[in-house]
Amino acid sequence: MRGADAKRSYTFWWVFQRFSGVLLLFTLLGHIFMVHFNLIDFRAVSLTPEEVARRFADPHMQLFYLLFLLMAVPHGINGLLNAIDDYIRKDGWRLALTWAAWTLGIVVFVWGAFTLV
Amino acid sequence: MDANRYLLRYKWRTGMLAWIGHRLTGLGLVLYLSMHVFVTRAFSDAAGIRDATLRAQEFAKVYDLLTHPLFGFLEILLLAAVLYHALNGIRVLIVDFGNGARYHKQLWAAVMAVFALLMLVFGGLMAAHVIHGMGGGA
Repeated sequence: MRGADAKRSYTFWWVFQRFSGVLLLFTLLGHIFMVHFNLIDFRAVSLTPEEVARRFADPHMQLFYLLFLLMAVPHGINGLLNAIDDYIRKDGWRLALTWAAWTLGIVVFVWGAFTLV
Repeated sequence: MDANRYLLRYKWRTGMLAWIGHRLTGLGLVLYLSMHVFVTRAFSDAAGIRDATLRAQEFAKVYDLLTHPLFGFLEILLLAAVLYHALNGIRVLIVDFGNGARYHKQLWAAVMAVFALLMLVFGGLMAAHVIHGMGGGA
């Protein structure tokens, strides 16, 4: 790793990627099965607007999705940064895209967190 | 863009295939999550409107998009991306923390088998739901 790349601790992020991955197995798959399927009737469903509104107001749901955001956003942005470091050879472009990736991550996390509260 | 420099850097064998699939689905999921969070925000804003008629109107705008058949079929692709990334992620964990490097090829075959099975079942349920919805039902 040379030049103007993100000065990340690669050991920390390597461990985090696996740790968050395990939690995402539960939160992301949990989300998909809570939203898209009714496993008792064993069919796919679309939530009604009333049910969506009820879930927005449910503190358990808020906590669940906060945990999801806390794991998913850094996991995704770290993966994106890995791809940028691998493929973008020009220092200027890599620096610009690294900043863009961090900005995207912060905006998505803040936007998502504000949606929950 | 020289595809060879990026995609064919290593030989197209199991590990490379598993890895490139992991990266492509991962990048797709980052893109999707970013859009999803903004759509969810619009949904939540609509839910907070006090006037009932206006609330129903704003809700319907987002809801109609999300329950559109085209979106429904795209969600099956999304399910495929999530399932592949999740299952291959489990394979990565076994290779890194278990003794998986010795049998990572068999593990990938297992990933693909479970992936195919889950897609057949849950992708099938979703497809049935979308097709049923096109007939006018919810």
